[in-house]
Amino acid sequence: MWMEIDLQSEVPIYEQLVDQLIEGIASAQLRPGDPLPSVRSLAADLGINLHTVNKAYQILKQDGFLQVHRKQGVVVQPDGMPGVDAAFRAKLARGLRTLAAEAAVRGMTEAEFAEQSAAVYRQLLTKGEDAK
Amino acid sequence: MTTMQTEWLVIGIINIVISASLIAAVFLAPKYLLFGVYVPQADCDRPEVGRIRSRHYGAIAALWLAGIAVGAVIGAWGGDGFTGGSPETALGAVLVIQIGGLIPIWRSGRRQALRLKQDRNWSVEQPSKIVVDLLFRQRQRLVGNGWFLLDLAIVAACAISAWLHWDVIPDPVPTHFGLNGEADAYSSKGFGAVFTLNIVQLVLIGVLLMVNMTIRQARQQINPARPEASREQQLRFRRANSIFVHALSLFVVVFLGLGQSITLYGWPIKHLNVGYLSLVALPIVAVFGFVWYVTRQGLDESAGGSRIQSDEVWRGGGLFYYNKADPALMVEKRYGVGWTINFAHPLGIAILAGILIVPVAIILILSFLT
Repeated sequence: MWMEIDLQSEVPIYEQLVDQLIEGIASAQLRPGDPLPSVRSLAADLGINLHTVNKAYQILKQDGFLQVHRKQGVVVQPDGMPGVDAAFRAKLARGLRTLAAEAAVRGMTEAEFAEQSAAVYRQLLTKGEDAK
Repeated sequence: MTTMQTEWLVIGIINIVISASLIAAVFLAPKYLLFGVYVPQADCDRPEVGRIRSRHYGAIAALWLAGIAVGAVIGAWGGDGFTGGSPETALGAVLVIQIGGLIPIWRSGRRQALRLKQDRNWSVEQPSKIVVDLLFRQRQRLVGNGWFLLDLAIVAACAISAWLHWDVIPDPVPTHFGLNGEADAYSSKGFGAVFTLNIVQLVLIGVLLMVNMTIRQARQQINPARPEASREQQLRFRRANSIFVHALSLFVVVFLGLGQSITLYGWPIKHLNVGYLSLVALPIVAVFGFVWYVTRQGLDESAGGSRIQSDEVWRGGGLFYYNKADPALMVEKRYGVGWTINFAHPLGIAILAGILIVPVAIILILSFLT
């Protein structure tokens, strides 16, 4: 799976890492149990600080998307992904709220907004098929 | 031809091989590097750059010839028609001139290159995007570490054979041969004299095995503009490197095994001498052949990347990588093919010390054993 870091982006690098790894899992480019590079080796490949990679892995571990073993290293969660809980619903609502507000101000209809988000969701799931 | 003349001839050939390797290393250097200073693409063909280069290359060629001339004078001084004197001392003196003289030439070239850099305002564009393949290491098709068992088996065969033929081994054992093929130093028969070369074999296998493991760990360098092609190139480059390293290991092990058999079982060295010496030249030729192959195939693509371009992270005349902001231990080389150490990494200095101390330790231990 390709990973791309934009050094000029305003999004912090660890967030870019988190987002892309979750996208990789969503699109099945990364499957449960797949090994990921160690903190050290990914940091060396990207030429960025060890702590940045570590932070991204720790966030994903805390949320339950990854397992970090001392021996096997970092693997994509093999024992089932975390479900949709109240915390995630709240996070989703927060993110959507900002976007919905701007969409409404710009005059986008509710149907169009819903259609857009459905399209993005579908596109994400088929991305893995295209990458193969 | 007398024995002495043969020695002078062999030493002369050795010096020519060493000098030719040095000269080739200078001339094979990438076009975008001028004495350790990065030259932007647009300025590579500027006459000023060419002038600095030709002036100093001329000096290097002159130095090389001067070295050989000094060697010839020393030889002629020692006796009529190279029949006396010490060829080995002469070689040492010539190498001091040839290699020591490179330092001021390099510094002068570098000074002029840095001045030109300031005048022309050369700068490096930092990349805005980094691309990596998360599964890169799983995709690598390197020579497995298990293949080094083959090398170990050869060492075992050599050692066991020496053990089984203990009674055939002469006492004292010849341990050094003059260039004419006659034994000129002996050690009393014992563990050290018999098994020294097996220990050397083991150490060399260990070193080359470590090099192979380094290739596995070295960081990937994907060109964001064309990731797939760039990844494929790197995978091929690494595979070629790994195969080469294992071939070298096998060669060295067999070569030393042959040397051991000559000393222990009295194999006829007279006939082997010329062949054996040309075997020494083989790895050198192979290394150049390999570099040529890799460059011609365009496999060493990481060459010329942004880290190679940044003069600030290359210290000591532009040759040694020192970058605190880079977490990698092994980084792509600036000159030549492959990887080098990041001296700013905590392990960097330790590895350098290891490289310097281990051979000295081996020599000390072996001299103690014999």
